[in-house]
Amino acid sequence: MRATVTSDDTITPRLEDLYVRHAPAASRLAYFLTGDREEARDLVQEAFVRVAGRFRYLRQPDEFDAYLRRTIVNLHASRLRRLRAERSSLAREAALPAPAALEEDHVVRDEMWHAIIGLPPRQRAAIVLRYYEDLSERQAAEVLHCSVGALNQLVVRATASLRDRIGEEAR
Amino acid sequence: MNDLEREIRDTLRRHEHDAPTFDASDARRAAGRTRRRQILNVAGVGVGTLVVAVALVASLGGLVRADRSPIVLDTPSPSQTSAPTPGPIDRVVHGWPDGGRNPAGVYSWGALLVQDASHLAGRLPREEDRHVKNSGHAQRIQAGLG
Repeated sequence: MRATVTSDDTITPRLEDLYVRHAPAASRLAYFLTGDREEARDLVQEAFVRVAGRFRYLRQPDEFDAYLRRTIVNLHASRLRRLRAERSSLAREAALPAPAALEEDHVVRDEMWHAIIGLPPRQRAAIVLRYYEDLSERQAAEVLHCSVGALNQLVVRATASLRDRIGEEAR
Repeated sequence: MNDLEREIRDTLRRHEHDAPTFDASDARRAAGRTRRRQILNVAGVGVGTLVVAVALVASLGGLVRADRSPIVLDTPSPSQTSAPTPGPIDRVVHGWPDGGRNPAGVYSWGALLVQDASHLAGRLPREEDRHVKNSGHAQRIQAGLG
């Protein structure tokens, strides 16, 4: 009995520590991808359970961040695919601003933020990975499961789109 | 880095505080879910491994049994041991015991059967020549049985 309790006690803090250590950064990435706090919270929990539940990180514990980041991006993409299958996600994203963004006035006034949130999901992910996470081109391409050339195309299109939107709103 | 890229970076940094925060209960919940997932995964892998092992053993056993079965072919078949062969062979083998029937396992039927059938087709020499050729063999068999 004591052995069970001991092993349980040693396992539980490890997972919790892992979560506490990685969840904040993961939640910021998830929030930038979704634009929604609750959805970001669910996304992080699901991604953490998937990565830690498969013991994948045990081979390379230092890679837990990368695994988690990739899982968050993949889960977000698959959620969007599900939504798109219902033919509502694009219209919903374009029509409704993020609930979190409505909470504070300064967020509503932030044109660039709205422009970023309005980008297509993969372009938004590319922008976040390159300019917020500061990943190299190769690392960002691995997370998005695409070539470096495709990643650069996504970044170029995203920046062009942002420039257009900001320019339009400035006029 | 141009101005637009700098602005993107600043905007994202400014909004990072809007991301959800996590407390201890979130960590406990996530750890609990993770442990359940780990247990399910381990159980799934165990069951899968067991199924593969059982299938492997069963298929290997089938292969071993399949390798053994040709040995049975060396024993005489029921048709050779019980059913008499009628027809011209009775006429060809002279002095055969038990009414000219061939006891199983003593005599090879092939040569005589073919020769006899060929004779009926008129392709072989006369019966006297053949009788001379086979008489020595028949005598040896007769001596063996006697």
